[in-house]
Amino acid sequence: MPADPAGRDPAPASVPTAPSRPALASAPGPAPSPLLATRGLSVRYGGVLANDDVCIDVGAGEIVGLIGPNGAGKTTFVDAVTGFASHTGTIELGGVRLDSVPAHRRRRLGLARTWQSGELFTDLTVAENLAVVVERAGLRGVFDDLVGRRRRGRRTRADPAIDPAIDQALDLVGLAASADRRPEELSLGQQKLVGVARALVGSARVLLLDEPAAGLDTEESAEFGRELRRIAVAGPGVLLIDHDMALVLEVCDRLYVMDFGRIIAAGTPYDVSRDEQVVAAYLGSPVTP
Amino acid sequence: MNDLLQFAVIGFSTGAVYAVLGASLVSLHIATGVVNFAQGSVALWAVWQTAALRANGTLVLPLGSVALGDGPMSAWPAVLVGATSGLVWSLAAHLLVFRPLRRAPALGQVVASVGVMLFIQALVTLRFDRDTMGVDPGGLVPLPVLTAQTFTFGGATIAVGNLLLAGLAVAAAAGLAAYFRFTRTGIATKAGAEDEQALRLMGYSPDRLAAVVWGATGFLSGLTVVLAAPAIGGLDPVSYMLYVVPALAVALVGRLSSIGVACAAGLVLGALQQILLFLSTKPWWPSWASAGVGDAIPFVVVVVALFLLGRGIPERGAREAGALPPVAVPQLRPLSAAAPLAATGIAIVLTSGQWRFSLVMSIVLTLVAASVVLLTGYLGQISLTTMAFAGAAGFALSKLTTNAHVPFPLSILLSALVATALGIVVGVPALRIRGAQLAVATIAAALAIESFVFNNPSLTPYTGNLIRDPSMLGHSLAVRQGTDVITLRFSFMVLVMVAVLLIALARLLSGATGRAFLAVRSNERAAAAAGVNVPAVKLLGFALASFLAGVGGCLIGYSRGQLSTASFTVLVGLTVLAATYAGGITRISGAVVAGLAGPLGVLYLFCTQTLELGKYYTLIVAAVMLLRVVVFRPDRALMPQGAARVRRLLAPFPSIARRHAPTAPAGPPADAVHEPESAHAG
Amino acid sequence: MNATSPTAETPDASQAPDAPAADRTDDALAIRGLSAGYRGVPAVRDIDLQVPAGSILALLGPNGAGKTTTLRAAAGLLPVLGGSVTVLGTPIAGRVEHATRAGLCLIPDNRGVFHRLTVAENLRLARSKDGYGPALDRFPQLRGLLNRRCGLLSGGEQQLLAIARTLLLRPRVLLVDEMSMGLSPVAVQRILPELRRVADEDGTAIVLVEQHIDQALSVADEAAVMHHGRIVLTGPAAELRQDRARIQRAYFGD
Ligand SMILES: Nc1ncnc2c1ncn2[C@@H]1O[C@H](COP(=O)(O)OP(=O)(O)OP(=O)(O)O)[C@@H](O)[C@H]1O
Ligand SMILES: [Mg+2]
Repeated sequence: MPADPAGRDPAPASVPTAPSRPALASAPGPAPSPLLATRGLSVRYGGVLANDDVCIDVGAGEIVGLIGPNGAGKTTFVDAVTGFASHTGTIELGGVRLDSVPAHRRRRLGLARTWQSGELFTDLTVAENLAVVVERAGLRGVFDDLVGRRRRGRRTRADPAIDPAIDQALDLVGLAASADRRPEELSLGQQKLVGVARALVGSARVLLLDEPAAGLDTEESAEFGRELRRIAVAGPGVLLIDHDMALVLEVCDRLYVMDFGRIIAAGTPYDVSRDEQVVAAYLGSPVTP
Repeated sequence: MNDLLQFAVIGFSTGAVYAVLGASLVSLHIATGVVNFAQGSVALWAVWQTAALRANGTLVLPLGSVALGDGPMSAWPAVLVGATSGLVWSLAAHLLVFRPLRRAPALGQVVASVGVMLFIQALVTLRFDRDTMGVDPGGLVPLPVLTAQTFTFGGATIAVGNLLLAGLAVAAAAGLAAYFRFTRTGIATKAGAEDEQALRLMGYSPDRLAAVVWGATGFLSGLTVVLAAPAIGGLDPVSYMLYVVPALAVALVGRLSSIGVACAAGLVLGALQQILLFLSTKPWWPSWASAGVGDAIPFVVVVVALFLLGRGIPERGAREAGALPPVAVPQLRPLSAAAPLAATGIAIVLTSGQWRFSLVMSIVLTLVAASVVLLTGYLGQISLTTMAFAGAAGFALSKLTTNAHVPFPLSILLSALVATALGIVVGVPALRIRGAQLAVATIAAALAIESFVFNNPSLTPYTGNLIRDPSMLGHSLAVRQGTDVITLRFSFMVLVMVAVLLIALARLLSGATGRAFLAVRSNERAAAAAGVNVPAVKLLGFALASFLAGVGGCLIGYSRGQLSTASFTVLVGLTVLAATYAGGITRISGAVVAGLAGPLGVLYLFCTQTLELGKYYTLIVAAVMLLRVVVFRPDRALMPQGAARVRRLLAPFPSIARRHAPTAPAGPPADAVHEPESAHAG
Repeated sequence: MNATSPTAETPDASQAPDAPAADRTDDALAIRGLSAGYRGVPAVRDIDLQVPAGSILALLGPNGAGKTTTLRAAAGLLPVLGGSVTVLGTPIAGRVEHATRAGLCLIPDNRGVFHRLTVAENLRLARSKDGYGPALDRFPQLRGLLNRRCGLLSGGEQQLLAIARTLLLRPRVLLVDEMSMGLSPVAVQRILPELRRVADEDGTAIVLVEQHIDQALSVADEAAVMHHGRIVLTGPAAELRQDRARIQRAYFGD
């Protein structure tokens, strides 16, 4: 795993401490050298310009919100950044250009995502869903499997030889007890959390979370917010997409607002939630963080 | 030029059959998601029915027969009754087989349709005999219905009948396409194929909508083939069943979704084949390409085109391939592996002659079926090329041992590596073609290998493809010795080799490789996002599977002393896939079942020798297969309710619970589940 | 609206004709003593819910409480293991056909839109005399998407389409699972009053499963909270809105 020491720096010195208060709002802004930076990112689907000149920065240890009306292009942005939609413009992760790197390599470089619709591996248990990220398949993997190195067989809780990283990630989202269950046995909200754990595991440097809290109830969503904070403190940058304003305003350091594929506002939650354009396009009525 | 035109129009008769069968296949796929391999068999019955009616007015039923008037029936009524028999078969298949399977995995439906295909075909052979019809089936010919008039156009003689057939095909396709596009019921039918439950919530009956399409396509296929048969030629108990293969190619050109394209492609293919046939009689035509071009070239073109149009990563909202049967990851315990091994060894010692031979064949087939478990069961790639890989390795073995004198263990390794290389080449289309489309594309590959390599006279000497007997360190491992048709040494060589490979396979499948395969099988987009190199993993799967199949092919070759191409046809490949699915395509024990039941295995010998049911063998196999796939579904737990209860009771002890009910998902949480089948179904 | 709490001692209305639940004949949707679940194992038990025409019931509760199961059983998608469901007097008895014919529509939590059809084709499937014009008037956002394949729509757009399509059918009873999931706040603020209007003007009885308690209570007449497969709290929405602590407690099952 190529580790970039600078990118892994867990001390987000210049990032405003969370949650932002109006007093801090005078000096918002990304870290000086953001971990993830997109410049002029555009995605076109036939006649639709789904992303138009999008510039977004995510620093280490920072939680950045991306909100916007339905169909604004938020998921498209994540698709483009993670290699699932062809785009123009540049994407950098820790100073490395990713534009022509295939999706799976981007994940190996530390760019992890979740999906709006869960997309778990239904044939694998929760723990095995995470194991896929940690392990390498390929000729090396075939060799290792054959000679029995790293062989864990069907991972069970009783098996001591489990990868601690998997347990850690499951613990973080509070699903350690469900490690041996199948995704379809979990509720929608829990499935989303498995997705988050799968993104977390295997030294992720930036997490792109697409509506991870949809399907969670108010309580669970608040708890998820706290978990997210704990995760971010440990180092990775987080881009959070969600329509749950209570969560987004509470947990994010900075917000971007997207409409019709363009960024129409950016700043602290306090400022953004008062922006007239944002209220009209997205919030409907003013909300206070 | 005139010649070309004339031959093109001659080709319209077969072209019309391809076009209508292809359009029917696409329609059924749009309406139900099924790729119906039985479409040709349905038409086959219709042709025989019409011929029987026009011979002496006998209406042949699956059981018994009815005389409709005395003496031959006149042309058009007979045609209508014949076409209607196609409708009836098609509806029956819907009601009895495909409706119960409507939420089964795509592969289960494919296997069921293969079962229906074999069933109807076997029934045609059994029912249209002298006893039932009162005439000799050998003397029966399809009598002409359409006009025999011709006219000349630009120097070419054109048969009006062929133009009528082409017109019929175009009209049928246009009707079907318009139905799906412009009528509300047609749109609802498409919707039902995707999410039946949502459609029922809107007040539609998906079953009835699907029945309309089944009936219509059965009738149209029957009608077209009945009308075209006189122009195409004689009557035999298989031919039209196999027309489904080119029809599938044609349907694939329409990407299983465009009826119009499929129809046009069918007419073009028919014309093209006639033209190629004509051209291959010319002196400048290369001799190596004289065999099978008409069959192979169009297929290859289709696959290449599909590959170029396909996507490396499926688009957002693209249809998932549909769940496959649940997986039981192999757990290697020394005893569970040693016991069957020892039992097999003892069985080898105790048997002799024919019985030992079919036992060894079963062992080899197990290996071939295990490669299906890997590629289809775990990786989710429905491939029909397995037997072709095996055959290719056998072919290489013949060349290596007779021409290059490569010694025994090395010869198998090299030949299997040849198959591996071929497997990787065939795997390339799978990077961009998925699901049922891939199944059809791999038929193309298998057919290309079959007609270009196996059946190519310029590659096969007149003496056949001989294989030199194996020997190691001076000891002969030959299969035959004196009067002994199969020696102990050879049998144990096979057993050891297969056992080692199966154990290796079990380790792979339970390790990181198996998990990566399953990840790709369940969701390619998510797998890529989890850091899995999806193309590499797919190619790895194809390589490993073709290696295993290749070793199997070599062992088959050694057991015969020469390569018989009949063992490696597309039909055999289909049978092996079907048998493996029925045995349990996600577990190695399923491969063992397939090995025992497969062609020339122990079960075959038992049926033909002990029970003397040779005549009914195909019918029985097809019926058993259908029963297994439709009634005792492998994709479901056998006792869902009981198993769920046991799990619930054991819930506090997760590891025990899983061991007790490895395939049944536990009682799901109330809020999260889309129940696969509500209990009142039917 | 009268959602009987299980503590009200009316486990089976058919056997207790003097119980208040059985007296209501104007209920568009009446669920009495319902048990339903999967593979014969009940996931919800003794559910009693009555929704009169023109009223909205907010069905609340933590994840996995059984809200979806209740809706699916009411729509006939699950066999009824005990008790009964009637829609305008018609017993549903675990048959979807009965439910749809009686005028019940369910918007499932996977939205039930057909990914391979275009937006226009999806709308056409609703057998509506006036075509799909009214849906576009209600949700003008869909106008620009008519020819796009549904699978390509964003999650929220799919939800809008599902709601628009269902309203075209002019249901007498409408069940919406996870209504606001994936919808932007402004869209939710537009749709909720829309549902209120449908209830008021067409007299549709609506059951709304929601995670956003406040928003749901703001449009609902009554609310019920489920926990572990049972209804643990019912009451008028306005009242519960003032007393959030009671709901909070109900979420934890006491
Ligand atoms: N492959 C595609 N082809 C054509 N249009 C597409 C494609 N993918 C997405 N779109 C369109 O691009 C727009 C942006 O979609 P996107 O999914 O990014 O929105 P979103 O902001 O994530 O919305 P939501 O909050 O509802 O999830 C939508 O109008 C969608 O219909
Ligand atoms: Mg989205």
